Amino acid sequence: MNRDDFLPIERDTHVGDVSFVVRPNWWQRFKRNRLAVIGACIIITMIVLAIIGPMVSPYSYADQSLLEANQGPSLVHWFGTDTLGRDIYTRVMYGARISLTIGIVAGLLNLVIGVMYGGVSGYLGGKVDYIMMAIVDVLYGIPLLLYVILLMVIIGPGLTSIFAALGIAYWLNMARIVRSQIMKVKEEEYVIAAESMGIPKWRILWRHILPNCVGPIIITLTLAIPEAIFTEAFLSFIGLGVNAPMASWGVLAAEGISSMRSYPFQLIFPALAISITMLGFVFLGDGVRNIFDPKEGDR
Amino acid sequence: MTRYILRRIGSAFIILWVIISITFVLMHAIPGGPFTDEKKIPPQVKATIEAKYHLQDSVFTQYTDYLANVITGDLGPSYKYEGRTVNDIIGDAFPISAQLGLLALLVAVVGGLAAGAISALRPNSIVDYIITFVSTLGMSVPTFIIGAVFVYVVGFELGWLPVALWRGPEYMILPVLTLAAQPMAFIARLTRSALLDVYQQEYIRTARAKGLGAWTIFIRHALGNAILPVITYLGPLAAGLLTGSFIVETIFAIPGLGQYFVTSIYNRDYTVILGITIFYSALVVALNIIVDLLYPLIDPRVATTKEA
Amino acid sequence: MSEMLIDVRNLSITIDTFRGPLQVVRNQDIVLHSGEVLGIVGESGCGKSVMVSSLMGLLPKKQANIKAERFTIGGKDCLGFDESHWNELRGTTIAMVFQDPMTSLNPILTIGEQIYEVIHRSHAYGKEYDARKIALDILTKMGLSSPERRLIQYPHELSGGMRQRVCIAMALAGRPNILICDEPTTALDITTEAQILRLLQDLAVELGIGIIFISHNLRIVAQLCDRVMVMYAGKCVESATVEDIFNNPRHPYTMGLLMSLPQEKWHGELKAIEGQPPDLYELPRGCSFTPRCKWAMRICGKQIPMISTVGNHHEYTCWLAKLEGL
Repeated sequence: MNRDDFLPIERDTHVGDVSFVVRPNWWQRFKRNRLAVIGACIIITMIVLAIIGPMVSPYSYADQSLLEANQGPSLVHWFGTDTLGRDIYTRVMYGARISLTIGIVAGLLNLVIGVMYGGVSGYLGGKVDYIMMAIVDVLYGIPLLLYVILLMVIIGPGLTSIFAALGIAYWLNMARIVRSQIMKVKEEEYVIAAESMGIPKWRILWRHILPNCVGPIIITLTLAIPEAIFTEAFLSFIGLGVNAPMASWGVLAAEGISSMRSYPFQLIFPALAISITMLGFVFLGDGVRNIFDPKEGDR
Repeated sequence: MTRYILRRIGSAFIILWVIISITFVLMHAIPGGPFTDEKKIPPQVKATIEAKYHLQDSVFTQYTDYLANVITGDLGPSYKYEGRTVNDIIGDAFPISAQLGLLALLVAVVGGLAAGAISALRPNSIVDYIITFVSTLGMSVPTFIIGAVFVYVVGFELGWLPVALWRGPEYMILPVLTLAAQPMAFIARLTRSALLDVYQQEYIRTARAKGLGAWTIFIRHALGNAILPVITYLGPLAAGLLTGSFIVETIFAIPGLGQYFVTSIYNRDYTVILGITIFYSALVVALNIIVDLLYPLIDPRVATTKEA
Repeated sequence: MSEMLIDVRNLSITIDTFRGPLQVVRNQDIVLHSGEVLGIVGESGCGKSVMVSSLMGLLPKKQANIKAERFTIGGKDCLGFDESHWNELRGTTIAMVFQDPMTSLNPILTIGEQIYEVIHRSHAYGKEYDARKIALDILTKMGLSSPERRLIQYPHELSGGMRQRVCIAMALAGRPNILICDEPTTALDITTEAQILRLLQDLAVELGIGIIFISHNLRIVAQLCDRVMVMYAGKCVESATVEDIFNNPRHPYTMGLLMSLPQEKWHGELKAIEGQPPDLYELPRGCSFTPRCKWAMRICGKQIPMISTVGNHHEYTCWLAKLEGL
């Protein structure tokens, strides 16, 4: 310690780089979220298999060959054959197309109907909102799956019927969530500020309100898509699935159950396909919830 | 509080009215259904149905008649089983389904809560990982596959338990487990995340600052709050168990209402399908009311906010 | 001489975070006597909340590493205490009131239920007692109107100020000698704040308990406390009686805090302390306040200053003390 030590300190006049801890954007958060990445990989794999899987097989999903019925897995028939001698590998891969299409279309219907309904209700507010939400509340109290069944009985089984039934029934959640999100954002001060500055309504909707709804919408979608696939499998099981010889995973599993005792492999492959895909969606759903709902996430 | 109850029951009646109306419309929309002319059904049944539904009357009169019938609890004759009414079928088969459903409900709630609590009390332990893994798997596998695996492994291969019919406790184990599996997995996950969330709350810190023991804190302060989302889930759970019972009763050949329903779909026994749909819808609406009335007993905040 | 309730020497707390270990409190002494109100002042993140949480044994055992030469609370050596030992102490010897009364009460239990569980734990009431009567007495003392009704009400039915009174009542129901208040008025409006402060003041005098009062607001501390510790970056930079802190501040940080208070008779501009509190992961060498200090000297960036004492237990850590001697 000497006198010099007590001279004023020399400071950098340069203020230095102000470092901000940048909040990672959703893509970075997604990449860091292992669950979401695993889930997405499983689903993408399934989609790829659905596209190219049937192409690499020499058989078609409808080719019957009674001579080759009920064969176990072999090099000729990778997953074996069913009671009509159809190649199970081809049918499972083809089934992926149907089941995933059902999931995606149901998701899109959910998105379009639910977001529009909820959006209109939430944005207009007041009496319109009251009536629209009263309708949703009433429908919510009904076990809709029963009415999906009823509808399927009336319009007959088939892919379009499934789309119609799922489309009619499964937008309620989405509508509720979008509506409540919009109600919340509408009260935010930055929206009120934007309104007071005379920014046009459509622009407020597009720039401020919509981006705030993306998270909840995606979370709802990751729940709605597997729910649709499950519902289709359920409908197939009670005899209301797609028309033969077309086959979704649900139909294949239902067929597999009927011959389970003698030929368990006929159940195993479609069952694995459904379960792995569902696992993918559960992972993705959990991951996505962590990404968009940081309060819940980062555990 | 009374106003809340009254309003809740009022809305239930509106829901019931909507249900019956939808059903009525659908009945008229059914091609080859009870109200169209081209019928390939036994003439006796046809006569009963015509007598029952006054098909010569105007649609509006038919509607009010139908409404009156359903409200008085008369769901009409079966289409396929001569001389039996839908009420007979429900009376015979529902008690079995109710047993199955209640047992599954019990297993799902108790098992799910226990598993979720164990998981949350030791987060990131091996037990937690196992429970999380199993419950995630349980949510991913469709009910009918779980049932099929039980039948194949426990029933056929091991031969431990019977896999069909409903004749005693040993007959109940596999169907109940199958039906409870998915909701149990869901409740376990729900409970776990709710408990982890509750343990972050400041009132838990307050409880610790009071010097309460870990067990007291869990029972008195954490569990009550963490159970709220599970109670909210009870409504959808009831509906899920109903539709799940269709599958379980079919797989395990249980002579319950669900199996009748599925058979009726195969047979296109429209009056039975519609009757069971109305019956089950009413049941779900009633269960939802019970859950809604239960909720404010546990969460005092709901009672006052809904009243205001 | 009054009894020494808290005697903690050379306390260091390190917390394991995902960025590595973080030393939140460094070589700190805390002493509290009965009948004394000790104020702890500092910016958010300076370690004051962590420090008092350690006095309650509330820090997570796995992440928090606590070291001290002496750690005595209510005459008991608490180093190496496990959860059951702490439970013995908490609520009966030492109690705490938290910042946000909205979230620190359990929403699904009545006020009564939450107070009773403290009374049942306390040994102060002997074998036979009437918990309801005791609770009513305390609530009345807290200035709550119609206490009978409060007992059967739920937290959401009360206003913020009422809830904070309930929290204080709850803390005192176990007859503790030490009461820790962690910014108990921050979430309240200014009139309610004044009422709560008056209540605490009266309690300190009446019950003769020791109170630690944490705040970032010097004005409140001036009203309420006997002695003040000014904390900066996990360390007390100045400790003195309230009079000395306000009339004779020694540390530049304390002076900065005082300058940034709006003055009644003075209409100049407010002088905020420039810069940001340091990143605890990368503390500057020497005195942590150097980068923001107006009078910083070369030595301040090299060596940590030692404690200097003036007058009656007025302690501060600053190199300026040595400058006077040169």
